[in-house]
Amino acid sequence: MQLLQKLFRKAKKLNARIGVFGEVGAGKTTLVNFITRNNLGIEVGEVTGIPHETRKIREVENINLKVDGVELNISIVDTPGIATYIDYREFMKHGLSEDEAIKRAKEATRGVIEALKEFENVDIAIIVVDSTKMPFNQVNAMLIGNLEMRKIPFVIAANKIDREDAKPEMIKEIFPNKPVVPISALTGENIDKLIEEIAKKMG
Amino acid sequence: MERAALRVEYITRDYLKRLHGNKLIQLLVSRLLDNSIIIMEGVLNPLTQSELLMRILNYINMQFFGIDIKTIKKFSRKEITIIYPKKKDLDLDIQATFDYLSLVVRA
Repeated sequence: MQLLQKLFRKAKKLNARIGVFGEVGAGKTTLVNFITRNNLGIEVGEVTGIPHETRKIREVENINLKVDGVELNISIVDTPGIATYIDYREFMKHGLSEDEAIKRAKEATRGVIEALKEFENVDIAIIVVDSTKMPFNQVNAMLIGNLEMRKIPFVIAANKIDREDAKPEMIKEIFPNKPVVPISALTGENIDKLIEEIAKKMG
Repeated sequence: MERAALRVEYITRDYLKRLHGNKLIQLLVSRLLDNSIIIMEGVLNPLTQSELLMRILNYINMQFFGIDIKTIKKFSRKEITIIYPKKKDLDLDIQATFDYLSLVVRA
């Protein structure tokens, strides 16, 4: 059934299920919130600054966007941040008790596994990277490699350009042959350009 | 295999060629859970990496936090990958240049 749905979405071309992936704290939920708030008046999740705030996959369907006169119907999937390790003590630094921290670490672990499995279910991916940090790390390399090997089209959103220490040009240099769009999920700057880039991937 | 406090294992490209997909992942999971720092020639392909990560995350608890993976390009004219466990009582610092590798363990 899932395969049929996927084939149907691909056949219509202008419908797509878009997965938003990235490291912890890259700004995935902020980006998804901006898109869903502007189009449906809703937000998918809270942004608190505590790592692994998103611990379950959340999907918003039927977002209608118009790009160059063409209507797109997308579902957007906010995924938990990907990490190779989860140290419960990190959460205690943000004021959580030890019990709360252990519980959050367990939920976060399940969330990472869910996010990794979600590659199989999306038509297009947005990889959100924090442009204030060095982007060439193992998580981003693994994400891009997975998408390329699975032949899933993707766009890299170089996020946080509202910050003074952002270096989106560095991201373009590090990923020279990949589509990179500098954005601010917080202010909405260039999100229209990101959507245009996604529309190109939708054909 | 006797349980060691910490073990460093070097896996050559030839040894890796004899292991495929699941066998390689099983080997890595068992070694990482058994306190091994693995230094291997070459890089893990991204699908193997994500599969390894999904398997290892099932073992996370209050002592074992997961793994870290570092790829060092052009180390002595070849690529090497270092995979090591992240644990409560094990703090590993890796310093690498093109011809020098140092692993400092604070246990």
